[in-house]
Amino acid sequence: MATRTNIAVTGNTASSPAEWRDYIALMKPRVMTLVVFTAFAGYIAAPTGLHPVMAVISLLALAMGAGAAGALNMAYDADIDATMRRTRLRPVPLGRVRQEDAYGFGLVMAAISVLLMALASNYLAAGLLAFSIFFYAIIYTMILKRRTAQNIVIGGAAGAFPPMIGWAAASGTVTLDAVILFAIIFLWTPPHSWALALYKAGDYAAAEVPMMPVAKGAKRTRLEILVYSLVLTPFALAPVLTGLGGWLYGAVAVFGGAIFLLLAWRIFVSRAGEAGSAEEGALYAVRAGDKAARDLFAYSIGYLAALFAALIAEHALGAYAATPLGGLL
Amino acid sequence: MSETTPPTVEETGAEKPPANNAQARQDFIKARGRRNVMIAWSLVAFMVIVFSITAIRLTQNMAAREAAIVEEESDESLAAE
Repeated sequence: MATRTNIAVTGNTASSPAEWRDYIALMKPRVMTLVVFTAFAGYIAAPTGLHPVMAVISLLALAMGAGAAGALNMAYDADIDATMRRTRLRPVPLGRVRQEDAYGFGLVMAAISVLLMALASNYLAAGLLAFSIFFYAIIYTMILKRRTAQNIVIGGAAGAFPPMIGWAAASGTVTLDAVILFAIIFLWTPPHSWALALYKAGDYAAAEVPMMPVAKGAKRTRLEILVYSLVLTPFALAPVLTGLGGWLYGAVAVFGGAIFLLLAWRIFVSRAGEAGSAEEGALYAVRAGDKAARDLFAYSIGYLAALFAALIAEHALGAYAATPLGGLL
Repeated sequence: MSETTPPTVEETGAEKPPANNAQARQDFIKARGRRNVMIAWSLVAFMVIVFSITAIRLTQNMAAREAAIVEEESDESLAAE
């Protein structure tokens, strides 16, 4: 088996030298998009703001920080990425970017992103950004991911930081509302990730990553998805109780949450994850028994995006209309 | 006096072009050139960003100082009355 240090040499042979696009791919641009989007929601929802140029630079710094964490993750996980169908075309296992170059790129990007955040906004936001990069690259990638079935539960905190950082960048503080936005993504991560893991379990087993379906089995995973969904969907209404979310946000949280719960129930009563590994091919390719898992995975992305889009619409586009429940918390 | 030799490519850890294939070597050099252009543009962007931050911070701080001076003067005039 290829080790983490010789993966670029003994793994798949590079068909061509590294292009700048390979370094962009190292930064996980799709993840960056969601990070910037949720951070923007946190920024917009905060009671005070920055100079527009400073706000743009802060979001750029946050995107760079997320990219840096992604590059460090890809550098460290090159050996397991090479064995998984979903990740084997990443630049490091392909041999297009050397592992040491990916580490260097990630570290330099991390340093620049934290520096820019400190200069453009404040030290609290910069400190949170530095901690989130550390948490994702060290705590999740290097410590938790290969050791515990709870890897994504604890590690999910790293992905939950962006709206809190956006809030801190705008206001210089972290309030209850910022913590609630953090908690929504924190609770959303396990059902989202385990739905994917259910129909990609074969990949994770081959790579010896103890994701929940691999370590505890499909039945337990389906139960945990349902339990987390039952916690997440009511909790997503918390912004309505603090007054952060208005009627629009409340409607999205209620209807979106109901569909989320329905899909989670469909997984619970299905045999998803018991058909073995997914079909060869794209992210959404599944065997017939795994469709419920694929549906929740795809829907969960839209659900989170819709919640934060509602916040943006209310606070940036003037769609906010207070509910009678605002201020209860 | 001891003579020092420059480090080899292997010693520096730098990526080296493939030696056995002329086409691969050409591709490597071209790709490295494109990467270098992107690094140059990134450095220019970084300079522009830092300059913008400096200019905005300076403007904001000067405005805050002027406001503080005006407030101080009004306080003094009120105290004199």
